[in-house]
Amino acid sequence: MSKLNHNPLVIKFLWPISILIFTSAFLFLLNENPFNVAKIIWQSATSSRFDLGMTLFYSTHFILTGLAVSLCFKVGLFNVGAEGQLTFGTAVGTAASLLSARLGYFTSILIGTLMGIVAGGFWAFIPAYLKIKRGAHEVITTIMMNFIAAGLASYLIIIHFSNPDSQRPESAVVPAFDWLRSHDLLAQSFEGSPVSFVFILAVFLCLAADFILMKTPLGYLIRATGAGFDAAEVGQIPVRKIQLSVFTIAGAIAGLTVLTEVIGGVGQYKLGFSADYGFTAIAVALIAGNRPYLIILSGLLFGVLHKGASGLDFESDVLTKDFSYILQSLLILFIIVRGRVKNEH
Amino acid sequence: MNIDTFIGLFESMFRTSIPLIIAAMGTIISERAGVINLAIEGQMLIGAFAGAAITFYFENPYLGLLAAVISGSLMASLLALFSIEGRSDQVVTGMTLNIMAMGIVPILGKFIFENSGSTPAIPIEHRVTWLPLFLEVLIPIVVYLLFKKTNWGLKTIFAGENPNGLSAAGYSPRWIRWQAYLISGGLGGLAGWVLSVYLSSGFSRGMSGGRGFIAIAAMIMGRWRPLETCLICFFFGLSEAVQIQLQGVELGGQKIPVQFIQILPYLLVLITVGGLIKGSKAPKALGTSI
Repeated sequence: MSKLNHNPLVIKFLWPISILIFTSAFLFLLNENPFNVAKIIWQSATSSRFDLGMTLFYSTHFILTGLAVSLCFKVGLFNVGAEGQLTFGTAVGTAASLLSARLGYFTSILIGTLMGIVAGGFWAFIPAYLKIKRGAHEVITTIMMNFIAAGLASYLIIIHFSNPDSQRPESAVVPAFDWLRSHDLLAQSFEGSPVSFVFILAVFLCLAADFILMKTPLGYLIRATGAGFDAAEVGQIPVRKIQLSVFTIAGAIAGLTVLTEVIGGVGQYKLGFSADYGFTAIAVALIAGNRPYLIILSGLLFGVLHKGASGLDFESDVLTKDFSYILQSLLILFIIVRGRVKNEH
Repeated sequence: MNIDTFIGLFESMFRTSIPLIIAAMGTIISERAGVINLAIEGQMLIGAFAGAAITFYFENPYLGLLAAVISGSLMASLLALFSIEGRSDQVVTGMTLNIMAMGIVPILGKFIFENSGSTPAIPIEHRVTWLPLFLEVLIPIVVYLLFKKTNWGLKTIFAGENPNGLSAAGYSPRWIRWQAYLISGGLGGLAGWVLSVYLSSGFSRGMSGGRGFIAIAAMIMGRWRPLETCLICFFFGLSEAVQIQLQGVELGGQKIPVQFIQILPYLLVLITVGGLIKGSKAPKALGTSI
């Protein structure tokens, strides 16, 4: 095994192929044809306007949260808390938008979005602060923050902002919603699905992040923070300040979900709306690798997989949409293997 | 609150802490050997499912125990394969396997029981009564003695502190780390079995509920020492027991919202990990590839 593992070609191909073989074997065991599975996934994601709209909608989520996770990787931190950041941001943003409804459509949209961003940023700030000031491992703290956010969001929406017209665990409808949708070109083009202009916004954010990261001095500092330079060079870089700022901004980006999901997408906060977007974001970020603009493609890939998996649930007797978790983890495993380098034992 | 409630709370604490303690002992073994087992959460999930499923199917909780341990170890072997042999990042790989478990368990559930949520309820005569409590005491003592008194324990500590020194002495840190991962995974699966077969009458969706991560937090707070970690686990277990008791209680005339009570254990972990740790005494070669 060890000799094989020294060959770079083997690393690049044998590992992914082995993974593919095992997955196919798993599927065969469940009486599912892997090619059929792939076909169902693709068709479910792309066959109709509605399907495409849903795919783009999910992609928006994945691009935003994927960016949030990816930025943190850039400064050497593992943000497992995107889920809590998006939950808390969306809940607070929804509440703010509902509260400011009397100030007019545009203002309530603005306030809701801003509060979502601030709340998401706050939710990321706490574990980031604990990490740099107290050395608290961000994986543990962010995971705890995820659970806490779920509880607080549930409390906020159900107890204080619940929908007076229904018994379901959801918030009241944001008044500006219809107005916003009627002015949204993307929403009108993919009628029936919750996709919105936020998709364009998300793409733009990725491109902007890519530009800042790659072409500006600030971006260089950020990349240097995560790159692990030796002590002499690190002395010139305010590592902890950068880590704290970037982590907080990442949470703020996750908080933008309030616009994607509620204000511009579905119109209300439905408890449990997030299909673990924050966890998939990890896969999105890892697949995208080094360049933020690749998050756009990665996010689209996962949008296709996610929408496609719901088709699986429908068409297949055995597979459920949980299969997308298996696909995600396989994709990640494909790329994180590094194998052994010749000179190491 | 009278003395009966107090006693009830402590009895509850001893029970709810069992999965935490077993999982924490697992993570201690792996981290002492120098490898991070973040997949303990997924191992618990898979162990809970396999344990409940096999126990129900064969009407035997001990077969369920075996199944849980084996499935946990299987998952850990994947982690070992990718992170030791494939040199992938241990934290990322662990987290990825957790995601994979979240996908595999419901699908297996649907395949075997037509239900992607819970397994069928296990009748009381097929569950266990005293074994988990016995394990709660036995396992920490065994782990303590393992590290204090045995050669294996010494080699493991070396694998975590100075793997190069260990290989210079003629032992293989890689093999030790594989063993540590497998044992850790087995214990994670065992913790899951306790959850679904002892503390409950079957598996339900997302049953592990973050307990694997809480166990890791306890290990960090317990400074990678088995007995101290147990105390921390009792502390966290107590918060979970309190949370169950507190639901419905009033404070100053107002009923406390149930969501606030539910988040108590997680809040507690956050505060303790964030507040009381200053610098870590982790094994020196933790997380490194060899």
